[in-house]
Amino acid sequence: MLKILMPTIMLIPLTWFSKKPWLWVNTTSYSLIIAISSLMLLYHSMDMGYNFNGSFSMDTLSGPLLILSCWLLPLMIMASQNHLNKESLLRKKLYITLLITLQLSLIMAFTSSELIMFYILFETTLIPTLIIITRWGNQNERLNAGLYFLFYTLVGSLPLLVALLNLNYSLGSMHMLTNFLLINTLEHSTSSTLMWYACMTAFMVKMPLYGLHLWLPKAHVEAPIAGSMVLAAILLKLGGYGIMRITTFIEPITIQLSYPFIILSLWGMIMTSSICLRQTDLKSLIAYSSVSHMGLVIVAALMQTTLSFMGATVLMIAHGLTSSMLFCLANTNYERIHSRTMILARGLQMILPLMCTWWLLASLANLALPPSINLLGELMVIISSFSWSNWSILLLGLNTVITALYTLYMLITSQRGKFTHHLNPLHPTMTREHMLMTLHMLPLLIISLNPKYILGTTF
Amino acid sequence: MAASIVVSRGIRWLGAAAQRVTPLGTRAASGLSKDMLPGPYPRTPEERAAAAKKYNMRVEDYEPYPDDGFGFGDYPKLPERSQHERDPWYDWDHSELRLNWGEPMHFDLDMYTRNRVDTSPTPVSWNTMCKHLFGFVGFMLFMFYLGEVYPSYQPVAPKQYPYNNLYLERGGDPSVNPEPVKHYEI
Amino acid sequence: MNFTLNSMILLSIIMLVSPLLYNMLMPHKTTYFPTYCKNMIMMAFMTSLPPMIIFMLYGQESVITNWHWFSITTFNISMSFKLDFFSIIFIPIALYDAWSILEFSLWYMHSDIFIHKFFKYLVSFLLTMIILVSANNLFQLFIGWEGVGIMSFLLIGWWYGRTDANTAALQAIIYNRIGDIGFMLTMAWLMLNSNSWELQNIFSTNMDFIALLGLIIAATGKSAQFGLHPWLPSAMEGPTPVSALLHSSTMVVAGIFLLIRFHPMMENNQMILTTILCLGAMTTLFTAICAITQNDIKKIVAFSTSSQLGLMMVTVGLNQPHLAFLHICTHAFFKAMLFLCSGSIIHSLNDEQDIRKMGGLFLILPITSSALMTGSLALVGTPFLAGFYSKDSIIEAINTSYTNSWALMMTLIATSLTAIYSLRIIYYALLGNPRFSSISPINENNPNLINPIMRLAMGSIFAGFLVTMSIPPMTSITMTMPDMIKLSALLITLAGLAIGMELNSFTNKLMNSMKHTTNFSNMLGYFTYFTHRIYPLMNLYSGQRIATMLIDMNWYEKTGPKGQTNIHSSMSSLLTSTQKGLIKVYFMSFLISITLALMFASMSTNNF
Repeated sequence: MLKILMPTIMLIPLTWFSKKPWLWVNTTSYSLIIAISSLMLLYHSMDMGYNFNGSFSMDTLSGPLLILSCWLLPLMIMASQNHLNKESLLRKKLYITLLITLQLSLIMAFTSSELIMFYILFETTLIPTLIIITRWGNQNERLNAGLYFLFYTLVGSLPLLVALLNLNYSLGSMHMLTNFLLINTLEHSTSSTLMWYACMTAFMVKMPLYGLHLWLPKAHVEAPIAGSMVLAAILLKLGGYGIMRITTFIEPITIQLSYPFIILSLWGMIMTSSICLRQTDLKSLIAYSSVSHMGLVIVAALMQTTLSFMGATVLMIAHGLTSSMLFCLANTNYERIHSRTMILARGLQMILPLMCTWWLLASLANLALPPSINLLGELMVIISSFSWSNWSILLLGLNTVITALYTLYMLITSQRGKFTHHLNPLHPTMTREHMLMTLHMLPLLIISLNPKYILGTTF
Repeated sequence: MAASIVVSRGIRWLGAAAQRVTPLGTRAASGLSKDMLPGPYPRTPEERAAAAKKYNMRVEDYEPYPDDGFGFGDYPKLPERSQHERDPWYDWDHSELRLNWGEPMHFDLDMYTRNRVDTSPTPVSWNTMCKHLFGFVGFMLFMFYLGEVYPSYQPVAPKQYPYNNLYLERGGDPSVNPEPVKHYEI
Repeated sequence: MNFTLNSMILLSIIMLVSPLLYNMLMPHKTTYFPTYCKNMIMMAFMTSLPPMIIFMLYGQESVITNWHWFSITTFNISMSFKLDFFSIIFIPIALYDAWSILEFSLWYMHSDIFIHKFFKYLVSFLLTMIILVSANNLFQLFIGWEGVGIMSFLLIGWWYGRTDANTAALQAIIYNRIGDIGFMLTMAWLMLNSNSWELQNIFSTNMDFIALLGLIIAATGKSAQFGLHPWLPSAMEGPTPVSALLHSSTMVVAGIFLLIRFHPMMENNQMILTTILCLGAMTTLFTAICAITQNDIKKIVAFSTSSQLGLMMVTVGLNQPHLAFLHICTHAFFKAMLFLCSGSIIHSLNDEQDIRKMGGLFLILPITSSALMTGSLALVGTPFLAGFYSKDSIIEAINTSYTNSWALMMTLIATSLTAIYSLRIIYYALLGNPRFSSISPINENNPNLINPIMRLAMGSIFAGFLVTMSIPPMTSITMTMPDMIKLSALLITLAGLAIGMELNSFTNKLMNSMKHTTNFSNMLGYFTYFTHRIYPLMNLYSGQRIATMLIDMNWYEKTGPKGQTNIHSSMSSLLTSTQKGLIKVYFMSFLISITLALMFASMSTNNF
């Protein structure tokens, strides 16, 4: 554990002591080394996972998410280079420091074995993200977006604190890995129902559940590229991770109480996909597609079967890489065209053919082309919800159709068609950008070869 | 103390920013910047004229959406015509969208592009089309039903099997000698 | 022998991968890449021949399972190939077609600067198609299934600057995706009920109506059956080699192939068989009706493909999967050749596709014309050409079975319509006086053009005989029947020819008295006007007005953040207005709060 934590902490002094020309190189390469060394955690000698010390542990569920957050830091730093070009050195360093702090709190959040600790770190991630959004966003609306982001998440998570303190009092331990050894059953009463809602709301807002999702498109659109990436890739996954963790504490009433939430998510997926169909704003489209995909994760996490948990884990990892890549691609367009409006940037295949390949790959991953892990996750969710209710296949099937529709609409509008004349002075793509896309795509492809490592608990 | 001052200032800063909250009914769900939003609904003729000028239209052509709370503001209501219907041989600035620079865009332009919805007039009236297509499909379904009720077949002789029409294989009593079955006479 | 069979088939699959690897490792070497692709596919075809011969001689079949992907509890997914009658016969045929078509593309696409990319796409498509036909595992089948869909998206949208091509590509993928819902339904059902996606395990379960319906939906999407058919004619926006390879001989038969694969599951389910039969009869009639008034040569051939797919579906519904497979095989040859011929004509006439602007081509394009004639004759089922073996048997089988009489009648009518539209192409494009512009670059003296057409013509003549020889007798065949029934296929085709001549003279003499019928046929039965206008309009309009503006921006905003803001700001302004230093107000607030506190305290003491 310290093998990852300490180097990540030491990234901060590295950032501040780096000379100007070496700032990006140092931070990127160093964080990439951390990411690569974290891959070692994929190897599980036991199914139980590692217990690092009293308060940090890791199992097959948190491991992939932990590695994903380590993997994303170098990518975020790489993606932000052009965006921060005109900033002063001090601000660049501050920005990178914020990203590192975020990474640090994410690593600790995913590895903390105490729920209270998890809660604290869950909230800690808000601070650097808020600063990134409200300070480095592109438009005036970033302040509004930050307000939405902060208040939605805070209001949702305050009941969780109360519930956790209460649980700690009644159970005596909040250790997540040993908790299934304790026998704790909530009896059916109003207070346990309230307890369930209190525990769930924070994560539902974070996921976000349809209806509580308003902060997400705003925050995603207004955030600078690194903010969008980390939000889509990891911060949303904190919600899914939290649901899967906390349901062991509040058994067995989940089965009854999750009913409306599953229906709402299924319905919300269709609604948000339809919203995607009509978005004119590229980043907003990708953000809404995240809401739609996270709906699937909520359905799976609430279904409470082995298969659905696996599906949720796979889908979280797959969506993390895919949506982050789509945001990066949207950002490369934005840096050239200076607008997120889709109909202004058409026919880019003529000018940036290799970037078109990345667009194609990312779109195909987003619409879940087999044998990508996106499909694997979706299929598992579809199967587990089919066993829950046969009729859910209609909604889920409709959702796959609409997902294909908006993804390919995005692809066709931005890449295909005639090139527009107002876009003549485009500068060509950079190796850095291709590297960025490769580092997104490569894990997706490699994991597709052996998805065993991200299946979560397979027993 | 200092921390609380910082927090309260931060919140006030955020609140002040939120004063400029985007009105409802923005085209993108994420919220657009103020410059991209339509203005308030024009009520007086002067306002209408100003709005028409803003959208590069003549006052006679200009007509806003009804002020029903959806936040269209002074955005002009253009005819519901898809880009399919526009002249394909004219030299448009955006040949693919069949759109010129400075031309007012339909609120649902992204829906009326050429690979989405087509509203061009049909050579045959909708009424006739409905009648013919659904008539055809309905007639076929009905006839398939009838065909199922009265199936077609060629008269065939019953299957002929050896060993006295498979007497033993069909569970006949082995102790009883079966009646010899003759399928044909030579 | 086992070793030879397995390794040769795998070798030919690996040979298909090699052009892709070559291009990936040396992306700049593009000059000879198309030729290399063509040669590699030819070699793959040669390599796949010995397994076919082994199969024909010894009836050797096998299943290769070689790479464990992952397992979920007791559910294993591994890579496995099923080499049975269907895959061993179909792989060489697909490769033979692809070989000819790639060679043709060398000529057809020679001026395209991205010709190497085009060949790469074609080879990737072929690879996914081979995966599809040889999969022994539903997941692997799905990889091929979606793979051919995506490759068809890319290839239809090859000329990406054209909006129509992009629209057609999008249509193809949407209709296929609707079909995929069915596929996913079946996968989910099987995972829950048989806990395996391996075909041999599936065949030992008893699939119910829902699961089989999923397969039918999947096949409807992929094989362009009625309801999900409009994408196939639109797909003609793609280059002609793409139409020849994907939309006539390989990809579109995947749906039928799926049903044939799963035939053991449905042969005892009369309900499913009837559904398939009626769906097929509907498709074959409807698309044949659409074909007879089209003027675009590729559209006619596309609709005829759709109609033949319907016929295959009918055959599956008749419980004759091997006959359907035979028709897939023979159809692959002559339909690919018809597309190549139309490609040759289109190219020679400077991209003219309208058959009204052709005419008299049999003098100036002799090889193309004779091939076109052979193909058309094979299509209508002229005795002893390829189509005869499959088509005549199908008609015979449907005539002699106990079946839906209306489906029988519709199939017969569609068969005679086949003769009409085939005659129409010949009549307008090949006979009569030339009606094209006099500066057309007509030249068919290129071996890359002639060889593929000749090769496929050979196939259209002999393939039926060869494949028929190797079909195992699975169902009992009626051997004796009255003369009229034996000759019915030929008779209705001849009747169709006679009617076709009449119809052509109608057109020439402008005696169009059947306005409604002509409109119905010419406007594709009005079907696309409904599906391509009303559904997108409804979906997109409600997406914006209801999902975005009404619910998200109004209800959620107003009950959520905006509503809270309003409530809080009004409440705080109310409270602020009381802070005026008036002692009465302060005392009043003290009084109220103390009273309330006392009330709550007394209530709680009562309770406990």
